Amino acid sequence: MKKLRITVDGKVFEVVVESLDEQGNPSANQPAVPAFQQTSIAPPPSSAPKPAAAAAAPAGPGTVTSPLAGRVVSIDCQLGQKVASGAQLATVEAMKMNTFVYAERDGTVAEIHVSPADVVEEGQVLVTLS
Amino acid sequence: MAIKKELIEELEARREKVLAGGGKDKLEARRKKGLMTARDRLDNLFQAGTFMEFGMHAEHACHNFGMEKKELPADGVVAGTGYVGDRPVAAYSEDFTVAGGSLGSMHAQKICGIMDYAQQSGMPVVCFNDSGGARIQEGVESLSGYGKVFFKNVYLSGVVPQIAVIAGPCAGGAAYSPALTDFQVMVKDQANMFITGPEVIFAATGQKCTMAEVGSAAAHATISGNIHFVADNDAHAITIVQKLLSFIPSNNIMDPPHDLNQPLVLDEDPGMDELVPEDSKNPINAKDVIGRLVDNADFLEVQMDFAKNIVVGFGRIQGIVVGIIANQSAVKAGAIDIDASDKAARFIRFCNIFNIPIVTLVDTGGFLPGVAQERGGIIRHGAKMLFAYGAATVPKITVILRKAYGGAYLAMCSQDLGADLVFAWPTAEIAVMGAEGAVKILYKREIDKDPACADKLIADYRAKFASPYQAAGKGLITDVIRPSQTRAMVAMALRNTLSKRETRPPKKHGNIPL
Repeated sequence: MKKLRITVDGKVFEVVVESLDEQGNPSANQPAVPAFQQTSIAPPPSSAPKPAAAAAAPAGPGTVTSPLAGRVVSIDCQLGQKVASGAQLATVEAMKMNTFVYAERDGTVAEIHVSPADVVEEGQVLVTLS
Repeated sequence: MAIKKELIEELEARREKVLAGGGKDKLEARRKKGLMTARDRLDNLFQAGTFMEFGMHAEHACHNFGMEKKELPADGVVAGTGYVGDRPVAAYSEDFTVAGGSLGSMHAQKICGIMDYAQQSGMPVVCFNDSGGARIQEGVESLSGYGKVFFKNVYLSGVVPQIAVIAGPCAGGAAYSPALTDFQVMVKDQANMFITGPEVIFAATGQKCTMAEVGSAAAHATISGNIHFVADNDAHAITIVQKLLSFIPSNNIMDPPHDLNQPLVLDEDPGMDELVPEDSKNPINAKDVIGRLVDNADFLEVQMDFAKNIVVGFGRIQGIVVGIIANQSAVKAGAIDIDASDKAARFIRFCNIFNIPIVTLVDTGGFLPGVAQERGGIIRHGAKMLFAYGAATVPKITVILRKAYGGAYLAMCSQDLGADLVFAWPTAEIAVMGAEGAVKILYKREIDKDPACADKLIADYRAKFASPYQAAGKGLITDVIRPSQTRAMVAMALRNTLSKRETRPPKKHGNIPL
């Protein structure tokens, strides 16, 4: 976009000019921001009983579980720490890659169930938020 | 001399009656609830004034249970053609205000008629499902109607794209018609889809469950993988359909809507270099890479909430429409599991049918290990992906970003599976297995004698084999490129490969492991 001042018959006009290509589209240095939005959705709650996890800690509200089987690299939060949704709580290594585990909601770290180097299963509770 | 006034008046009176569907009050009630009517949906899909209706004056065929006295305008389904952008598209829309949108034999005949026309004319079919199910009064004729629609879905599959919008109830056998199409869009909160709902499940098995669990858009988008897009409402569903149509051709003998009128730009993109973490164990968000690769970061993701460890969808790279398949190392380490294999395989096959070049971005440690995966048939499911890639004859360009190990390396469109061109970043690790595992096998005796030597052996193995140069040295990749060169190289590769021709021995079809 360029702002220009044009004088016609002594009258002053201020105009904004956008350069278009031959097809009338905005030129390439001004990429159009797609107005289109996609919707993401969360899975519905399940009424089926959860399969018993390997660890003693049962899954429930506020529990943060490992998304896959692997080895705990680090616990990235501390007991009593207040965390916001999206905060990184732990790192699990599997398949030659670190997988970060995030808080799904705001809360306070009430319990930490595993330690670095522990082997965890998919769905095993790592941290409980209150 | 002119046409008799009464004839015109009769036509207009008949039209008015049909346009009112199940009655003006019912139409208004729907709109008040925020729902579109069957005709609203088509009016919003098509450019104004381009709708050509098929079978407006159809009458239902039921003579039992007092139905002979009832009128069912258009027999509960509005069908026709119209323009989306500059292309004609066929569509039908079930009218829930007419006998609950139930399917009778004329309703089915109209659907089959518009599908025949679409197939012969080579145009996509869009359907809006909003029906209580079979018209019980028509008995087995209604059932037969469903069978005929299913047969048409299969007949058209691979000839013209079929897109289903589940905009209301879609229960029992009726669910198999959208399931046979290429893409399903489901409107959340107002639509549900199931073979057996909570009542039948409880009666038959004693299991208690909710509709949200078995039939909602959320369940199908995240767990069952039955649908491809979730829409907030009718209007959003229609924009999704229009967006999808903007990437795909009208039929299998046309090219997708590429925009080749732009000059090839070979500028580097330093931002891509910055996406690569220093620690090779830390994930790269595949969507960030895709965002930099496609024009204007405009990427239509398919099945965004299902098997998030693989990302698939449509975009354009310097004008050329592509289907992108990328391991998502930020979810489940990008490992390929049963759901990811199914998701990718189906998408690859769609691209191949409709001449859409495939770009594959590889960053996976392998197939996901586990009892559930093995018992669930990861061999059979993973094989679908290998099959789909191997069978695809469209241009296939692969970029190995980082991890490409073992069978998963092969499965992600390696040169051996038929990739036309394979690029690798300097961060690529192309190896038969990870360093730890390989060293344990290769040096078992040495490590048993002296466990302390393992670390050095692993480091040596990694330095030698976890790189792109072993594979490059064997001629398995085209070139090693900087991440910043990716968009330019892929764009050029696509232009060069676009006129690819590949013929295979004639056969009915291969035997994909389903």
